[in-house]
Amino acid sequence: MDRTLNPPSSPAPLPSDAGAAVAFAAAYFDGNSASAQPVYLRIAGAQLRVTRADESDTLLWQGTLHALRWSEAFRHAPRQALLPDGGTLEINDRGELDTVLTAAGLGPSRVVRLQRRWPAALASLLALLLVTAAAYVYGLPAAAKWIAFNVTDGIEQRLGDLVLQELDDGDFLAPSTLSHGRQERLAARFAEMAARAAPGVSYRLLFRNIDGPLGVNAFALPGGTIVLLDGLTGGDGRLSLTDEQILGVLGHELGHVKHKHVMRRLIQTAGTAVGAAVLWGDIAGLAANVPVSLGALQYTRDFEREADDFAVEFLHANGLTPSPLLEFFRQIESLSGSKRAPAFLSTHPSLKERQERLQRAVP
Amino acid sequence: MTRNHDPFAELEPGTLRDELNPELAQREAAARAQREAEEAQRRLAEHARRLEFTGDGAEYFRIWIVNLVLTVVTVGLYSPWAKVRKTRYFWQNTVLDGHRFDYHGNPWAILRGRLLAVLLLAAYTWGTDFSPTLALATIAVLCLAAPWLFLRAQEFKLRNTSHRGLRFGFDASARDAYRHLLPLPLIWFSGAIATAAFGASETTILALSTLSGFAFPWMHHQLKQFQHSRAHYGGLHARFDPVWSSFYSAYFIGGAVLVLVVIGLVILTMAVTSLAGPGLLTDASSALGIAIGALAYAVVWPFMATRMQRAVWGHTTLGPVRFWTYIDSGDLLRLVLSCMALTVVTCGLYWPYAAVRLARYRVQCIELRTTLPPRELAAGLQPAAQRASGDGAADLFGLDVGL
Repeated sequence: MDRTLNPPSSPAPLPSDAGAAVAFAAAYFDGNSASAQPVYLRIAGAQLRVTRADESDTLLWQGTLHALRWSEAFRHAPRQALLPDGGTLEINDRGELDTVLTAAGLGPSRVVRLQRRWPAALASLLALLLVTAAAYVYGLPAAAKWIAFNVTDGIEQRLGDLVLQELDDGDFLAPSTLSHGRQERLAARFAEMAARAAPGVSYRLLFRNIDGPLGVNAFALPGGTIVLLDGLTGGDGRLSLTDEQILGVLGHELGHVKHKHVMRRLIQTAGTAVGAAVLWGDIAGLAANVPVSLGALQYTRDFEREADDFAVEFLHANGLTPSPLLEFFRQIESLSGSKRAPAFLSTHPSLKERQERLQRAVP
Repeated sequence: MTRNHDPFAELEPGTLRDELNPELAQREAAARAQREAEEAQRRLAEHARRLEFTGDGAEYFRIWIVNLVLTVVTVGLYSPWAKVRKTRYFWQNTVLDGHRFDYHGNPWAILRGRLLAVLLLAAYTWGTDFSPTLALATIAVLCLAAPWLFLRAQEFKLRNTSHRGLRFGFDASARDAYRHLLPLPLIWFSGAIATAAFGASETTILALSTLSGFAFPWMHHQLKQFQHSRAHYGGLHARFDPVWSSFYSAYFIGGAVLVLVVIGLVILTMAVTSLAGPGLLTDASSALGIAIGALAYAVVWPFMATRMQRAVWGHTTLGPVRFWTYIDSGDLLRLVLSCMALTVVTCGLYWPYAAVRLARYRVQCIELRTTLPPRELAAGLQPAAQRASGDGAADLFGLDVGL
């Protein structure tokens, strides 16, 4: 199989313009057909002459090296150059071509020089890890916090309303079975405590019901809506909680509202997804989701810790200790059993960790 | 096909052998035809050239990591330059008959294209959260623009790829693209469209979803057909013979394997987690689900890809050039699994090595067969005729859809 269309690399001696000229053998494509024509390139300083590599030695092109568009040098590929008249040169016999081009001012760019050396590549890897870690731990949370408090403030309410409407309409949330009297009493007491602990934080307390294990819960929506479910207020007898304990949980949810956690989580998850797509987008869309899920879980655990801390402040501002919350955790633990997922797969820090944090806050 | 000899020369002059013995004549004609076909096949095989790939994993790792850092530090703005460099690396390391390919995409055009894509994606994502009308409007715009976008993407990709100094090309009018491709997003989003237009019932939506599911192999085939049948190089136009039955069999087999694999993995997972405790399953369900999905995809994709590649290349011709691929699902499966395992274990650092290995395998499986010797073929090729109107638009937005 005749593969090398390059002639042997000993061209005819140069005519009058001798001096420090270097010659290379190459294949030339004139852009009008796909036939490869063997040529010689003679480079003197920044001047280039392209001549046919046969007895005729016809001059095909001459000019400066800078008039050509040179490809980046890859180790196992010939150098390619685009001539201004539309022709292409394929230079297999590279020899000192790189040196000659560098001498003429057409050396490799900074990026290419970085790519060539292993120390530079490993330094890049280190830089990548540091930048990514910094962005994940500091950069993105800070940016999300700023955006949540300064940019998306107005949209939050609408988002919360939309979600609530969907939950209500989709029969996910049923009307509460708690008596109106009890609802009003809890709401009033909570309003009092909230005014003391977090003045200026607007919220709305709603009562709903979900059947089954999911019903032992309370959650906050963007815009300040706190939903308290019947499972916590003692509807089905699984838990018997005092008012203080319920209010402790509501304090935790108020912490979510005050710090705009849900909005920040949305922004941070989106940011993590974009980051994962940039880092691993090459690989597969699906594979990029795993780090996003894990990364997002870490963020929610941070938020839960922050909400727990606020709950302690909330109770403290109203003259109570964290013990109601501790009691609540103990009851939850007996309800769900001791085996739970490892911490890094869970949305909340482990119960043990939350209890320890609360214990430390008890005076 | 020229006949080198006169069939009647075999007859003895004056006899009426054929008329008296038609069966014998038929058999002789059949034998002659077969000999000629075999000879043509031999001539085809004589000028068979396989593609080669000279890329190196270590070299590409260095290129990849440096470009990745630059992309991350510039929050993605450097990515078009990284993409051009990567594409040039893979093209310039692909060899046919001793000569390389090349890519000339303009990074600025690609940057404009990517910013446009980000805007549309943002509009859609935030639209679904805040304003359903915005989301619907975005989908509508995307559906209507999709054929045009795909056309521009193909033009950009092919016009910027060259071999032996001649550029490839893609020749299709907008009307052509719409006629061929508009049914695709319409069928795919038929459920959403029906709901928005006249509030369809759940059964209607279910029926439409099932219909679009069944139509998916056909849609995939339409896309490939449009892609391959409008490409041209050196004055030669590509042809693509319809082969949608192969696509259907590929998807059917892929679906069957997927079901088996998912069932197997789910059983395995439940067995493992029952040892660890009930809490593990509910808490880790999303991560486990993704892991099962990724593994299933890695196992199923080689089977489907092999079948479809064989079908597509076996039915594509470029003038007198026929294609063939030696791709084998067993080899590809082993390759994909080992690459995936190593990539996961190294947290993604093995990826550039894996990319080079995959590219090498796929490229080196492809073979070109012609009856003409390559030199003659090369000599007969001409540059693509320039379409004055199309070029500006193709360069304005360097759209790459990754198809």
